[in-house]
Amino acid sequence: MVTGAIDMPGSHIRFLLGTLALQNLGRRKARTLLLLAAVAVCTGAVFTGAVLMRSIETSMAVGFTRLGADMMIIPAGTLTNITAALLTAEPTDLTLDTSMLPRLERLKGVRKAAPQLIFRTDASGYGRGRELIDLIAFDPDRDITVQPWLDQHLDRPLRPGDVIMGGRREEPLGSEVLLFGRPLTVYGKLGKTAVGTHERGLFITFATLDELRDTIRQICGSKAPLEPDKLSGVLLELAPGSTTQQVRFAALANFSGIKIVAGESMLTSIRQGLAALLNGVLGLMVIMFVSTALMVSVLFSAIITERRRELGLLKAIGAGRGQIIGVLLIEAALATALGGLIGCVLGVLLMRIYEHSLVYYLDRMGIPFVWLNTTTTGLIALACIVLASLIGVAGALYPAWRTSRQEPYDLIRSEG
Amino acid sequence: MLSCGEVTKVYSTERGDIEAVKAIDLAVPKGQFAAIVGRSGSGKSSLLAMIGGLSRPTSGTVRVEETDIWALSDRGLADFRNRRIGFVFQFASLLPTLRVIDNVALPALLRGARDNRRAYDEAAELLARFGLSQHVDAYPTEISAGEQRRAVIARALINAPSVLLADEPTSDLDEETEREIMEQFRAMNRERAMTLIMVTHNLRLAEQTDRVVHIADGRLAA
Repeated sequence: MVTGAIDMPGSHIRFLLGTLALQNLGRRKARTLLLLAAVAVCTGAVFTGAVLMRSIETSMAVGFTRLGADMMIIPAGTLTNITAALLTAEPTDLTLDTSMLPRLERLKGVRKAAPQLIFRTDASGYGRGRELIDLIAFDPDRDITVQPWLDQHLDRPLRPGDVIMGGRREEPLGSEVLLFGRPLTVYGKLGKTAVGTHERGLFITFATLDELRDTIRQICGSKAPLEPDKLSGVLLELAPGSTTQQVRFAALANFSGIKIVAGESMLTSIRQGLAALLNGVLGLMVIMFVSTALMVSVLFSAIITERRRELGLLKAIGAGRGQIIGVLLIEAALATALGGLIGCVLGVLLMRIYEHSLVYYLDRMGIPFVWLNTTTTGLIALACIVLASLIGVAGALYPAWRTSRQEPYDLIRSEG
Repeated sequence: MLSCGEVTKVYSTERGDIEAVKAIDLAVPKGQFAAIVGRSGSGKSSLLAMIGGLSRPTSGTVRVEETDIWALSDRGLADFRNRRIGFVFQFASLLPTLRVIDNVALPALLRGARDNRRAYDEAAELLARFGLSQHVDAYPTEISAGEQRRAVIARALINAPSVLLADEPTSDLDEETEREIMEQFRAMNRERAMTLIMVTHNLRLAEQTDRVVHIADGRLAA
């Protein structure tokens, strides 16, 4: 008797056919190793590429956004002294209306529009005596220049009543800061940017500003920036492929009373170029998987040719077409899944080398490289293995289907 | 009754069509042990393959009892081969990666009608009958050619078929094993009233059957 056989009709035949598929892989070791190696190389390349691509995307989100916005829209007449990166609006009494924001976001070539309101005051009660501060309100959901610079923050999401301190401020995380008599919790601290307003600023959300507005107006009077629905400026990130000139003309055609400041065009080009490169890598991955499917198909045609007699025998004793296809597809799925697993392990090793070489040098140069977290990396590995297995099944499907249609005698009398 | 009505088999090759079997009429009564003899290339194996549902005739019919087997669907024909026909091929036809008992139980498991325990119990009984009890867990490469052939016969019998077809069943075996196998065929034919058709080029073996059918150049010879 078979030890441990599940005593249900049909269950053991599936086990036996699965065993047959598994053992066939072991019979032709050189061929199986070749198949495993090919799938491993492809899956490893795709896995490594996918993880690095996502890591680069994340790093870009942090690193490149730290280089500032591509453009900034401010009220016409605002004096600007923009020599550095576009990280915050300039302190001014002139304002824009928040109603322009949805229209601005819909403008062709605009990917993100981050509103800010900046209010310079010496009456906040912050620090010693009448210290001059820039209180900067931002929208966390649209933000592109504040949160990417967060070097330290509390282990929870940002919420109303929190303040983020500029890079030159000294308050520890979690401490309280009194602004206009209202205690705010220090949620985070930004890195140093060499942009004065950004380094000295106190950043709060628009929701926090709404809570403080009446108190501020009682203390400071009804200064223009403190009126509801007003902005000091909007920082823009451009969509890939669009240029500052295009967006500048579009904005000027649609809005009056604005002034447009463009950032360093080279940075915009690098950001957009990298985005295009990542799309190219994605295309390359698709091509790799398609070529693997074709290779698996060719290999399985050869494998089936070798096993025609065995398959013919199975048909002769009553195996149906579905069972013949099944045994071959199980074999393909097992081999390619195993190849995929090996590929992912190799990919991890490759990334360790990458981490100790290129990433190390990037870090030394002050360029942050943000690796994906373990869970996401694991999920990508799992997806790659499943995809490799599906590619194997797709590649073996046609030869298996063609074989299942052949007569048993034709299969039996042909030499393996 | 098993009957062939004007069965013809033409193989298409690059060098043109080859007519291997030419309009053969043959009737084998139920329970008869018949031998088909002829030289290599005479068409005897092609005829056997058409009778067994392994190769579709170019024309003509094959009936096993009342079933026109080539009128069956793909699934129906596979099922028919599984339940009604037992095959013993001239080559070592055990699957090398499965144990002997798995090989013998395989047709019963493919049939799916019996539970696994019963299929394996029956396989073990058949192996015992053929003197292979000590080899149930062995792999085919671990037993002799004669033992492999006996295991193949056990496999052919697992679903209690009404017809057993054997193509050169003793071709590469020694005389002692050949004698044992012929004795087993005769016993099965006698005990189970099973129709047996054996293809051979060995006249000495053919003479041990109920009837000898000669075939030459794809036709029945006198």
